[in-house]
Amino acid sequence: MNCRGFQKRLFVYQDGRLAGPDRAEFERHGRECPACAALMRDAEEIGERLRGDTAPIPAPDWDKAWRRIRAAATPRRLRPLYGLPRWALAGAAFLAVFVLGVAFARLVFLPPEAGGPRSAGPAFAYTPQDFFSVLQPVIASDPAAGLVAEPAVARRLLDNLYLLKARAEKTNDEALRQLLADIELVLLEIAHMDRSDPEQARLLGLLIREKGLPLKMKVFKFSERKSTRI
Amino acid sequence: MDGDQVDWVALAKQGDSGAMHELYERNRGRIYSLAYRYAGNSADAEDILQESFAKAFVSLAKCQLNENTYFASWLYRIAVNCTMDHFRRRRGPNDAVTLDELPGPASDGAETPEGEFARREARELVRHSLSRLPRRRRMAVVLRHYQQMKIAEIAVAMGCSEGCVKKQLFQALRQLRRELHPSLGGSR
Repeated sequence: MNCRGFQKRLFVYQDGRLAGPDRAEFERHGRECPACAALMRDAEEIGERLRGDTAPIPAPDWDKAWRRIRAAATPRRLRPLYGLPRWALAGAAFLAVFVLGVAFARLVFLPPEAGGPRSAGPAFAYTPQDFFSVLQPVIASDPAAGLVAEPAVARRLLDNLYLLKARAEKTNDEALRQLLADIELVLLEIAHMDRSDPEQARLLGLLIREKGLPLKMKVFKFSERKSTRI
Repeated sequence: MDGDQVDWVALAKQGDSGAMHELYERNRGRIYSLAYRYAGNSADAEDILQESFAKAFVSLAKCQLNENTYFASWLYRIAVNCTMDHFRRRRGPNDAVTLDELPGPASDGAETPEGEFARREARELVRHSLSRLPRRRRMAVVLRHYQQMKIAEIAVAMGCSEGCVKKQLFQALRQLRRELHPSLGGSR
């Protein structure tokens, strides 16, 4: 056994766990090696000094310590406030802060939203009468004189038209369906036309006149009013 | 002792305050002694005692103690961790403690004043050197010599291997020898 082996087995030997040839070899090295013998003696002396320190330890206030332990180990219950449990108040406070935060964020970071339609163009009409009122200036204008609605406005009107068309199909209103089909044709032309081209504007004017849309719309509105009165 | 505690542990798991108090009464001495020997003063030792038991009872309620683990050794491990954490938080890595409060050794009355003075001085020197050891080495020495534990028991209490404990003890022995060199008889 070398010195390193002796040092490795020192504490196992002190524990009395070194037996047989290992123990004999350990003790033989301890007798033969002065450095290891000194290490062994010092280890024993230091241990003896520490173990010999048998002075009584001043006792603490055991009851006070127990009270603190019990308080720390007992799960805290939330005491009610104004008849409500504290968790409910905490939840309400959190919700209020969240709502205020969202409102503030919308106010600061989002652009202001118009009260009417989200895109440019006239308000959405839910009855044919309203729709025709909105449509009147678009149809009545003279395309040949350059008075053509914006393509965005035409697209918006087309959206409105498809809604009314679906309703007309549901109610089997053949007259309205036919009128809307003609209007659709005109609006599609406006939506896709080149506004700088006078020839396209002229053809659009011809189409409107050919279909007789302004008159048809007036008649439709009048007949609807009459039927409502009856 | 542990077998006698099984019923108390089961009751304490269910939140029985009386059972918890019984476990406290039975184990408080060992835990306080460990904390006091390590810390060297009663204020820190009391803090460690309270923290160890509070952590143990909270963990006990969550059923972390299985049937094969005895309460006393499990509690001891918690106390060892609490002790080292206590000084890690408060004083940083080189947490030398003051041992002024440690009482002097008991006198048997038959010793001469000179002999008693020499003995007291030698022990004070050892205590001072002990207080200068790094945390883990100091804990290993305290468990070994004050708590009279064997290598295997220290390894369980410190949550490391026996090899690690032997290494800590040997490094502590080397440092103590260096510091106590003039007063040791064996090294001369």
